[in-house]
Amino acid sequence: MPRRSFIKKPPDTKSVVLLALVAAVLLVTYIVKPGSFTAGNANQILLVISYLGIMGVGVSFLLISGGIDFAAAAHATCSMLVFTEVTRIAPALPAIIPFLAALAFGALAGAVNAALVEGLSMTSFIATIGMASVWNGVVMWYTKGGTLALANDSIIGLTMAKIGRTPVPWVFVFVAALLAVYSTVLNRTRFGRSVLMIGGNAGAARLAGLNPAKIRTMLYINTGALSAVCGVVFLSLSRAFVPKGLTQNTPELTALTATILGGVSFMGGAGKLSGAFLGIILIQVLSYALQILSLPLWIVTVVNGLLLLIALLTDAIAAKGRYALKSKSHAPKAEQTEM
Amino acid sequence: MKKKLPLAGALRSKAFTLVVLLVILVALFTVLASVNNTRFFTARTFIGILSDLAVPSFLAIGAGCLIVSGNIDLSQASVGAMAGVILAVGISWWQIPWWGAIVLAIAASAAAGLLNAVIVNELGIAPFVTTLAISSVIKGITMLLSTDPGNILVSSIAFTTPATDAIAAASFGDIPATAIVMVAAFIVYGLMLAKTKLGKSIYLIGCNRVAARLSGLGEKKISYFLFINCSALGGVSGVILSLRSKQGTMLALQSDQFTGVTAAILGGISFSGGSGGMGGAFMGLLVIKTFNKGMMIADSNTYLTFVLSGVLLIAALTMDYVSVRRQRKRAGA
Repeated sequence: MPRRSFIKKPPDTKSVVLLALVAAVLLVTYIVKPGSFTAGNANQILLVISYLGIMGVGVSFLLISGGIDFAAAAHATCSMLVFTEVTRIAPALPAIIPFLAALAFGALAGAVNAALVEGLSMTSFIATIGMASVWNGVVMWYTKGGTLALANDSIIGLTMAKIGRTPVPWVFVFVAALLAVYSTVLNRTRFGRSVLMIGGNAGAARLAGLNPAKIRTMLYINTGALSAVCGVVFLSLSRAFVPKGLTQNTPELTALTATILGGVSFMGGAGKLSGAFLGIILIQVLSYALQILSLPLWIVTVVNGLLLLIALLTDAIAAKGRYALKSKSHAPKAEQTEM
Repeated sequence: MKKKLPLAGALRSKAFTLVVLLVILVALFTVLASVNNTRFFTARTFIGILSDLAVPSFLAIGAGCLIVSGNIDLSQASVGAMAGVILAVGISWWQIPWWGAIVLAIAASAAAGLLNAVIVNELGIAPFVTTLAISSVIKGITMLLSTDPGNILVSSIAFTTPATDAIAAASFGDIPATAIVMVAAFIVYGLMLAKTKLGKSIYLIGCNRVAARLSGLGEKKISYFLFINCSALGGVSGVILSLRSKQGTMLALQSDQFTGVTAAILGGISFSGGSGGMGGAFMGLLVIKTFNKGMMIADSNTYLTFVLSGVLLIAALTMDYVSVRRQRKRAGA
């Protein structure tokens, strides 16, 4: 096996651009409102990045394989409900039991998505929107739209704990570790390469002996489970179960935007999880900055849309670059396939 | 030519499955309603369904034509909300005549469609995400429009003029005029797709874009037309909703973001383009709205409707899968 040289690798321009953008936003905010750089604000941003990041890892891994999950927020909400109800029925149990119940639910919901998309070959987009409507409906039906209190407040400490006196919450460390693990799986293992390959060309991957349906099924289940974790972290933040608390901000779309911003191709087959995570950081820092600068809501909404458009544009340009490189090296082949 | 036959058969069976589903739904709700001491099977219910159909039907027509050509537009509902707000703001704040406000609302919607078309066709970005991004931009513009001179975001802007009230209330017998316009629109667009050269070109583009370009169909021009058409029709549905409720609100049509697309898909317009028609889209919409109305009459717990409308979508997709597979088997045998 040839050893990879890490030094010779060309610098990842996309990540550099994203980091520069984050820095620029922070700089502008600092110049306009220096007083806003408090430990409290930093803590808030990091917490939001944490729960979005957990969902983002799942969503982008799936997107790289060519699947899509619009039900991630609904899964998270329903998992929150499972957690809340298990603690209500048995408040004496340690928090790990309701957590495992929520995780199991998330995985199950992911498996349902996989069964619909891979088993019954439905369009992933429409099937997961349908399932999102089912799970959100279950939540509304069960709670009648009302807020449920947490019977056991042990979970609140989960997001309260910080590293020493810094504003960095331990949850953020956990998310960073999660990201590292998933990135390693994607970039350094056989499984990760299979994921990239089925996303790039499912037909070729099947001919090469891979089983795209099986791999995507695993990833749908993984997305469901990670959504459940995201839900539990969000529950710990909100300290009560609010039926529309998570879904009203459409975090599944935010995760998707961030993922594409970070260079994961919308068509699958390319991308890095760290890029997706940087995308989430950029979106959150920007939206928090817009709030701090007390700009009207319409600007925030327009900027969110423009950001996604810019992300798509750079994705399209990058894809064109890839195509140009490919067609240069295999010019005759490219012509043949076009005919 | 041999390959076309099973496809046509599958489509026929799809319309058939929808009719079966509709009959089952009507029977089910008739029984459920009688258990709850209300009545479902009445003329009033069906006129109500027909009237409910008018707003989403324009979404479904626009989305349907676009999906046949292999594209998609998710900004339609936001564009509709913007059109409704422009109508309300135009009449009550800017003091322009009602017809001017309607023209302005539809023109702004069409402009949004043009924007989608430019980004998709000239920059080559996937329509799915392009329109998602534009949807957010349009939502922001709608908020800007609903901000009054005192810098306060107004969630609903009321307006009233004798002419707009008359349009909203117009009816022939018991059937509202908007429902008749809707049926006419379905027929016109249905004929356009099925019988004209333009319609055939749209199917061809949906089936095979490259082949369509090579045969000189002007696929780009048609794509522009379909995007603008889709947004303009979204604007029409927003205007109708606004006329009926006598107010414009930035929250309008929010629950209908996927109704048009869902109805089209339910009705057999394939996501990958090149198949389906307006009749199917109408049937799909009819099934969705009959279901919603039935749930409202038969059961007071509206929250259950959320669950079951998702289940309905999944069930319809499953039926579709089963029928397509059966057709394929028959074709193979």
